[in-house]
Amino acid sequence: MVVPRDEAYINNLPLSTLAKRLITKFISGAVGGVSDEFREHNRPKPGSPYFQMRLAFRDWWGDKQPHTVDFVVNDARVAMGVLEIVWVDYQ
Amino acid sequence: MAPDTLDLLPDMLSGSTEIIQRSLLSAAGQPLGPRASKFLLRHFRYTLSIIRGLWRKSRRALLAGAEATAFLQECGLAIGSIESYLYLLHKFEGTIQAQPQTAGRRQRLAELDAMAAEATRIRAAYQRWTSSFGRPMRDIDWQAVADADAAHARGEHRTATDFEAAQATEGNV
Repeated sequence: MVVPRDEAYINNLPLSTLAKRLITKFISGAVGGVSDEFREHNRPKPGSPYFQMRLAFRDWWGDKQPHTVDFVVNDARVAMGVLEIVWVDYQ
Repeated sequence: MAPDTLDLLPDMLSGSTEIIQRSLLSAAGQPLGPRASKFLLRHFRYTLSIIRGLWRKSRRALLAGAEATAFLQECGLAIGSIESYLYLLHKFEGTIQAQPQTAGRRQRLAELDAMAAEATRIRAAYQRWTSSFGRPMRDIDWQAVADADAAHARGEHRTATDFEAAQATEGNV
């Protein structure tokens, strides 16, 4: 799940249209399909309801430079199949 | 190459490097004969083709977007393998240089130089990716996280699939 603030953040990044779509695809594909083991290994603190994940890509259609997007995801409702994006940070 | 073959590239690379290492060790300082030299040269070419394949696979992964931890592991393995390859290539170059000066020797040395240059370029690409994608994450703004949690709790959100569909249909990016 994505909140409007993070949608706007992604849509306004200084990247090509295709790179922005790549970020959204990563959220629906990779973030949604992450394993239990990965989530446990990537918590900012043990027992935290959040895990972190980083997307690595090159914007081949724009500046052709390597970029990263960090995500913090709340997985407290993962048993119901819900992962909530709560923080997105582009570098 | 089929996707499952691509997944085997790191293993193929370490296996191929090991064969070269064993062949050079078995020579143990003895001058290499023409057959052994040809065998090793062929193997260096083959190993470089695996390095090239691995590099293309990594480039394609970045084209689609990759999870950084796994990608950085792939970069680390590739850098280690390329360094072994370059070390062995320089050792082999030394044995070729010890051979009598002929046109064939010059040609082999030129080819080894070109192979070393290409492997070095690919290693540099992996090193650049490692420093770009391995930079530390910035501090999380926990107030912003709390705001997002509150928005989720109010139901002010949509699925990533709906967001993706909106990007495609509304042309808002």
